[in-house]
Amino acid sequence: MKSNTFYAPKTIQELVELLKMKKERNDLYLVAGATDLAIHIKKQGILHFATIDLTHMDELKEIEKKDDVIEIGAAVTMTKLEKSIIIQVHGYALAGAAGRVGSTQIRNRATIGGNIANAAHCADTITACFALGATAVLLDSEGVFRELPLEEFVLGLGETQIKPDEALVNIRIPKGSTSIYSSFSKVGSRKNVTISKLNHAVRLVFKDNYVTEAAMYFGSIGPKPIKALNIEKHCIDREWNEALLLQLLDLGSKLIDEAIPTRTSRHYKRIAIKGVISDVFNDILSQREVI
Amino acid sequence: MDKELKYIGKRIDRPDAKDKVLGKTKYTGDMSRHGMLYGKLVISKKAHAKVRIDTTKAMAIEGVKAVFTYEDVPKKPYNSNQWYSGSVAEEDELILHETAKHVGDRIALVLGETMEAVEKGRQALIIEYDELPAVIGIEAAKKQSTIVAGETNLCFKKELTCGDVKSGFEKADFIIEDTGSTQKIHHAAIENHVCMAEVDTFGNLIIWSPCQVVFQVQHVTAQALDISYDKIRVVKSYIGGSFGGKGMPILEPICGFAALKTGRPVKIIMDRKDSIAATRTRNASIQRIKTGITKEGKIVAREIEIDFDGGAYLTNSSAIAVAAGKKAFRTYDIESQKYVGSTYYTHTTPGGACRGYGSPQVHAISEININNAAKKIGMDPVDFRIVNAVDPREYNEGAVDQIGMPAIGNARIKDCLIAGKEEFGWKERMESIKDKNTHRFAYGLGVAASAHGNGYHGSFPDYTNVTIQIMPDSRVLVKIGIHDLGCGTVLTMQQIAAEVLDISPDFINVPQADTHLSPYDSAGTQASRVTFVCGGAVKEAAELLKERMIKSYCDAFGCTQDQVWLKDGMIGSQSTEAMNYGSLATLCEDKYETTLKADLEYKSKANPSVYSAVFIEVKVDRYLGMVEIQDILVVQDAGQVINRTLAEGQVQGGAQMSLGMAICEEIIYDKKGNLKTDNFSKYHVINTPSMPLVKTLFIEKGEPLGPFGAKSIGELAAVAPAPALMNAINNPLGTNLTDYPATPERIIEALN
Repeated sequence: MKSNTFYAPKTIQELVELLKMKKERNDLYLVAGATDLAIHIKKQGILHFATIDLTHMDELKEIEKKDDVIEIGAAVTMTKLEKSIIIQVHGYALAGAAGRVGSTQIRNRATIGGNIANAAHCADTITACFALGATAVLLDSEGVFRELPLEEFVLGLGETQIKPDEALVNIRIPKGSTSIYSSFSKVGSRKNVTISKLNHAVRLVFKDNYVTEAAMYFGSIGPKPIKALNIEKHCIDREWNEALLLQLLDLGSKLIDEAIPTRTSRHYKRIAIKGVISDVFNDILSQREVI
Repeated sequence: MDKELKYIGKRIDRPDAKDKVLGKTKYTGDMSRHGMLYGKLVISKKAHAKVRIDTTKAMAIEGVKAVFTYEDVPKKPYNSNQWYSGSVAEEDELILHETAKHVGDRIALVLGETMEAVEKGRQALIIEYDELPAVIGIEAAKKQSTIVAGETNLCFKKELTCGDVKSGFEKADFIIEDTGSTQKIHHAAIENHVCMAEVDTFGNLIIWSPCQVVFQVQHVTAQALDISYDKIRVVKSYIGGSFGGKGMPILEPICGFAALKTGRPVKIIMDRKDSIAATRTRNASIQRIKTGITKEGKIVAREIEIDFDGGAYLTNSSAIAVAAGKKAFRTYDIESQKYVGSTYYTHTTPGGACRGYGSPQVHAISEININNAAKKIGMDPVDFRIVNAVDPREYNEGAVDQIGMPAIGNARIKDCLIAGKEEFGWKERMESIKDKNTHRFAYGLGVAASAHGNGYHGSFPDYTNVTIQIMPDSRVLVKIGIHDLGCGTVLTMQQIAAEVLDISPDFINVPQADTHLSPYDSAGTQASRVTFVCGGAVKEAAELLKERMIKSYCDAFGCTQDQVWLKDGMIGSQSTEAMNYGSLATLCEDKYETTLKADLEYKSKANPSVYSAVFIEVKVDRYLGMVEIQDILVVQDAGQVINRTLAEGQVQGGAQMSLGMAICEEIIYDKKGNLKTDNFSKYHVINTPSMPLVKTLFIEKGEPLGPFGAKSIGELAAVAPAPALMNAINNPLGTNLTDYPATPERIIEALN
């Protein structure tokens, strides 16, 4: 018969104890929404495994406003992220990304921690979190927390800096001010319930209508989201207007040519990038109009 | 109609809907038996390879009951496409193969006490593949450098002609040529293939199957296992969709074999990957179309050449090429036309029925070509179609269509086009659509027309038997070999019988097909024959029964037939006391020693055409290549709608499949024949958020030989939306996309 043990810690202390056990075993999975795990065990034909379910830990299910950061529990669902006023105010791009992950059913289960820790190259929240300058908070079997920039935490396709006895417990994003705007867009094979062929997130700081800081990332064109340095630079001190948009569209195509010069998907993505850049541009425009 | 209809054409809820919504319905996957073994196929991972399987380790696993390979099974070839003993086609399949001929080919079966044991057993098999060269795609097959079977990869060729094509083209002012292709399509029924088999106390092999043709399952199983027909009882169980995919028996012969071999009930379940790789697909095609027109817009000649991908086994290779061809001669009045259909073997999943049987293919490119012809002379594409569309032909016995098939009947394609043009506001939209365009988004309009048939009459035996009996409690039992595939076939039959007998459909029970209980039916629930043929049979049998009821009543009470009335389950006359139908049945048994029933063997009398015209407005993203359907109207020539809700559902569901064919659905193999699209993450159907509201309009002018004037709806519904959408995409972009599906990548490529 199947021998699948299921652990459901309620506190950090209980989780630490379980992480001690996880250190010794290789069949123990951390799980929250299980939307990735279920596929993984089916694909790999894994019959014997045990899970540590993080969804019974109340403190991992909260979004909290702290002094200078927004702290998001790893077990916060996509639905909660999407609908959270705090996230909409301080990390609009992340709310947007969460809102476009999978289907309603998936968003009701899938969590930010899972999306990030599994580190798929097309993970929408990773691109958004990179743009927002997020950090990851990990807890180990000694009960020690460590925090590192998410860009360092995510190494590449399915790879992160997480150690066998660690759990991703929080994502932190720096708190925004009223002059900060962010946005996210993606394109998949269809409009909804789709995996990104290309996604895009930006965080911009404005002074009047001029860009003073820009963080721009494109996901799904490499093992992890790519920072678009040239495009970021180009935006600085420029006005956010149609003239800039046209320049960004060209720069976008160039970025694809350089990022994936030999892949057949280049031909599509060098044009499609104009779509996601336009979406984000217009979204920022309308966010600023509202205010 | 002389009399106002009481049940026909109405919105009546399906009796099984509530249980299905609540999850109470027991599908085959939910069935269980004491001592039942679970089974799962092992399918080939290689497109062409000699397979060696070491089962030792798997057999040692606790709970694994048996592993069957080629070594263990009868070496009696069969053809899963044969639906009756007279359908002659080469038999080239075995229930398990030694040489795998496509990814997904059946190479072993693992049986276990639990699904988990089966999984473990499958993982423990040591499978070695000696790879052989694989033929992937029609072009590769035509090179003939590797032969899939026999002496040539060309496994079937058929030419159909009318008039004189050569002189027809000489009359043309313009000749418009197009080439294009259609893809392999997965049916995407929500229920994967599944089957349960057991042996009853009388030694009958009972096969529970969500199938389309119980007598085909019986026939194929008898062939494959070399056992007597009468010892094989096939029961059609609840089905979670088929769309043609469950037409040919895939699991039934091997499930039956396993049950006989082990002496225990066996249930075999497929997962999605199996369903995509190891069952059937819509045949892919490559096409060349040439149309000659006059400068006034009359089509004078046309040539259609289609090469089909038949897949690794013969299955439907001949039928698909013929069925597609016939439809080319039905929509437009073209004096001279030639169709050549060829089917090629390849090392890919075999072809099979897939909602429309050749119609989606034959209309896919030709309807784009029609638009290009209209464009050539600057004519509106709807008007161009109206000018060339066939006129209804008064039915007369023995009349034939252009290529000698039964008459097209009350063909209302012109009505579809004219009514649709008006309803959609085509003209007004055409005048203003360009105003909507932006730098990024292009708006376009598309139209397409299509034709389909009503059964096998004129080609294959098309008859059915029906018994209708009044029960003592006034309920009515209708025995007929039908299979409700989710389309509402049962309710359709209930409504037809109810209308004739004047009794609520709730009182009518129409059990589904069971080879040991249902009277014989020659062709099953396929080929768009059920409403037209089986519905016609139920109507005629109900009329016979009604005559008997009236006669019996008259005999018993001494009144004349014109005095008798039947209403809401009661029979009476002006001068005598009314009684319910059940009491009359009891009276017949008591007094006349007879059962109040009617038996009928009903032969289809015709095979008219059905038609549709589809109108679409679309928004295309020039950056992302994404297509958003803004509006869609489907107009269908239905003769007479039986159940309005079900009819709309058919048209809307058909549109969903067809639109998916146009822009996203595609089974993709790499050069070596590996299946790239083995789940719904990679095989994309149009999902709910992207699905537009499909508006429907039915032309109901009656088909003389259809029950209450009805004819087919469901297959036709999956034909014209695809080319209409392609035309709508090409319209504003100025492209000529003719390769299906028009994915974002292909749209962007065509634009740049």
